[in-house]
Amino acid sequence: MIVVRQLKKRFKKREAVKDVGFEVKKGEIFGLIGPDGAGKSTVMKIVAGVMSFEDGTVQVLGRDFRKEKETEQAKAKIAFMPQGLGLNLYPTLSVEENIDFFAVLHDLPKDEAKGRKELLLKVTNLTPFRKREAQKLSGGMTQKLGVCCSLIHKPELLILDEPTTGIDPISRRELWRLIVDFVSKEGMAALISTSYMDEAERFSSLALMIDGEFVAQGAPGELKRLCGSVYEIDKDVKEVLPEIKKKFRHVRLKGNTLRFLAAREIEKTFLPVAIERVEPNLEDVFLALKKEEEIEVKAPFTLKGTVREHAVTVERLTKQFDSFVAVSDVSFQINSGEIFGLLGPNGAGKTTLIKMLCGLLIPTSGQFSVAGKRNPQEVKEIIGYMSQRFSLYKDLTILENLELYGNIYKVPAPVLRERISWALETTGLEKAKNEKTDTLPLGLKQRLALMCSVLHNPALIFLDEPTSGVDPIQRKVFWDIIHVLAGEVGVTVLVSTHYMDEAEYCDRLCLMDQGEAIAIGGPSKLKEDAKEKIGHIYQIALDHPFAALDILEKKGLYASFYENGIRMYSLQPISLDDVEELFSPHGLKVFEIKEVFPSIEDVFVHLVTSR
Amino acid sequence: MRFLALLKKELLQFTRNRGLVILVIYCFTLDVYIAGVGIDLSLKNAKFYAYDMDFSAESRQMVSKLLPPWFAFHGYLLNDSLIDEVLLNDKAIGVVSIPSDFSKDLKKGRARLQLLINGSEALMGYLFSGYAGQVFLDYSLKKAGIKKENFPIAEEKTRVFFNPNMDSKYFMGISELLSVLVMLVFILPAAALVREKEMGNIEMLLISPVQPLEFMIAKVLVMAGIIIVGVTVSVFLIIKGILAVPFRGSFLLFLLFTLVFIFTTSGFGLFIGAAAKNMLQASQLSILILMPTLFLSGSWTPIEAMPAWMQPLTYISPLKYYMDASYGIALKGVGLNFLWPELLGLTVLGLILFVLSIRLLKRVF
Repeated sequence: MIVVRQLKKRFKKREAVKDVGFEVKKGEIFGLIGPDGAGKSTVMKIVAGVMSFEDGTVQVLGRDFRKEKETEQAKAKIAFMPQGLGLNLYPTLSVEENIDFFAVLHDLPKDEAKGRKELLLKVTNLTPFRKREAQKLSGGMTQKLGVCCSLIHKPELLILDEPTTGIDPISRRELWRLIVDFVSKEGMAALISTSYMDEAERFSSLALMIDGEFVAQGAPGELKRLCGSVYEIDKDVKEVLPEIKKKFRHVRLKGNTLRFLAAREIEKTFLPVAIERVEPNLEDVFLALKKEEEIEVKAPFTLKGTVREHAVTVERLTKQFDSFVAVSDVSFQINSGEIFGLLGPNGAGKTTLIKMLCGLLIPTSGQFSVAGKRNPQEVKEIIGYMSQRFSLYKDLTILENLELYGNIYKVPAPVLRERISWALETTGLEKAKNEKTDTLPLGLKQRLALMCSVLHNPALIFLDEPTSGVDPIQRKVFWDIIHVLAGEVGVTVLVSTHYMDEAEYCDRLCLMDQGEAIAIGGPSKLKEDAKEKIGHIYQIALDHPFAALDILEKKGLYASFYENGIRMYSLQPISLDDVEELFSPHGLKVFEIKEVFPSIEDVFVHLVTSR
Repeated sequence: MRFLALLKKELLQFTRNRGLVILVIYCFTLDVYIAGVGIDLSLKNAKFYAYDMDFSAESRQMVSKLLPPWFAFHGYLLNDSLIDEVLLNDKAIGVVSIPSDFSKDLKKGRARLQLLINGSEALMGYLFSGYAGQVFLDYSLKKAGIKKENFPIAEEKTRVFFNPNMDSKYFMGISELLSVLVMLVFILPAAALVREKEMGNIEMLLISPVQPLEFMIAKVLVMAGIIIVGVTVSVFLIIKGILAVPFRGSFLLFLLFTLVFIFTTSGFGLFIGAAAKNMLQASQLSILILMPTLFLSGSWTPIEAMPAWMQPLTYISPLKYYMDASYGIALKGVGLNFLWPELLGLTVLGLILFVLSIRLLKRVF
């Protein structure tokens, strides 16, 4: 249904898409995975017929997109949902009115539209909210409504640009089920982009996109063979870390688990500790395909002032905007020198909370203190802040940005010079220092913004979603810098993120959902607590995960998609035989079953669903 | 050091905003020039038709008296439905309609004719009827053999000061300069602030030890600098140089007034910037404030022509003082001994407005 050959697109000087080609057949879901700025949206807009292209052929639904007339004919059968929350919706119309509007837009007969609307509302669980205004929906519901509106006219091709970014894990799971279900039942084709590496398995085939190019393309299983062997160590990690760093590539330490890539298979006795070979995931593939950046993070200075034991204390903090409660009765303490994570989907209240702590917003009720002071105005000098995405002046150069922030905090000139050279070294931007910051890739921008916020050697830094949309390699480097700042300089870090897997980088966490703190504690403690309640979690590799989910749901068991199979939650232990007994009558083949420890995503889902 | 860094940042950001730089350059040069040469407040080439039912020697003579370069005769209309057509389609400013017994009546001394004016172009229509009326009067007097001197009419002898030729470029060049200046004073600080907001940088500054006032003043200073440079270029290069309009008074005094005016009004600009979420809102808000400011300044309508209740309100428009002073300096060459009330008014008003805007700003942030 889609045939793209040698597609090229440039914006002024920049080549956004370089020689890209792919095919999508009926019933297939083709995925575009890559960091922000890789060119995913550009490809999608071209295939949706809303953007022109310079070179190559694009054939969608049998129409040649080089001809304007044919493009228009195809567009009637395409549904396109642009990136961003609810951009295709009308915020002041209700759920139902939005769907009705799209039905009218596509000239659907009244009866048909009504039936279809009811069906879509039912499968998305939006029926109870049909009268609610679109702007008052949560992020997850907004995206589900967006997909409903796209599906109302039974399109033949569904194009969704990052439908799941920043929404909560439960809605993400529901959204995927909705998409997979409709594509297979109605024989559509779909083109979907995502920046979550762990969503790769949902696709029939996918392309890994970096800097406008497809660096790898194929079925998820094929792609995984591209990265050699992946190993994990989860005991005595600290001791073997230096040796492993020397010998292997892409060494990542998340909590107590060390993960690394080896070009060839290694003997079990090769290292003094137990190593386990694990199934590669797409993040491993991404790391293997992109050249690793060797950046040594040093910390040439130490903290000038110290903060008390509790760097931040928050007591029953609440913020209300009109009738909407953004932060509700949140309490926690951050110890000095700690990396404290605020983890939750978009709209959970993370940004509002950070803004209150910085003095940008006045709380409705409750109290807090930062570095022992109740008024954040008094501690401005020792606080650093990095706002969501917009910390840098785009129209100033890298050097000008650094100088500006240094001077704003009155860093003495000789010290500032030193710090700037440190910052340039750490970001690897020494050569590019006279370029404007808007030309930088997102990962580097965020790293530079972090540097800008610590030039004045603050004791406490607030980082608001610093890694959102950044590719895995850059995210890893970013967290390395945070660890050095916290570990060696002694900076206390409050960082928010919507990536559940980044929880492991934090010392302690506050999980947030819809304005409330649903759990506070160290990542391993949270997981252990959750394990007691959830019971056993099994990863089951099988051939038709979607069908398996249906079967389990009918039996009242909870399960979710996971990579190439499902994750099943059960209070009783389950064996391979049990599972086969469950699935074989339906003709499903089970390859493997493995009991796993809960992930933070499991913790989150558990806490939200059991509330 | 911090303040210098803020100044440098504002200046760099201005120079990197190519669109804004082009706008500012255009406003101070080409725009003033176009207004000076292009906007003419006298009647030139006014298109008209005649509907002559008499078609006598007299009637044709009459029409031929409407001469270029003031009038442009486009022809005779053959029936009266055409009158509507030419007026509706803006093919003519006016139509001279002459009744069939015009020449007969003229001999009896009571001829009448009709002037149909296209009122959609109010100013031109007004001038057309005035000029044409004068021409017809002259013609009738001459026809009646009456010399003006023997006829009991009060004739005016006009002597025009400051602009003896009544050349509208004197007025228009300076008027346009003042208009663009007012617009820029409103828009530049607002644009700089809104831009900062749209990109989200403002949060970083609010969290830093930078005081909001410090940050605002840096913006206003840089904008004032840009405008002062622009005004200087405009006056010397365009108004004095190319348009060859004399600038009679002290240029430095004019700059002083400009500076005071910028500080008075930049409070508005900053307030717009603080209250608006994006550039669109900022433009709408500036129109909302700009319009009454312009209107109350008396630059469109003489203050004396306004309703009585509105006249006292004109004192709150900073533009009124500034306009009066600027025309005084540029066209009449008067000095501070005449203009001190304006300077005092502007300063007092400025202080009040600035304090008010800073208060409002603090509330908005």
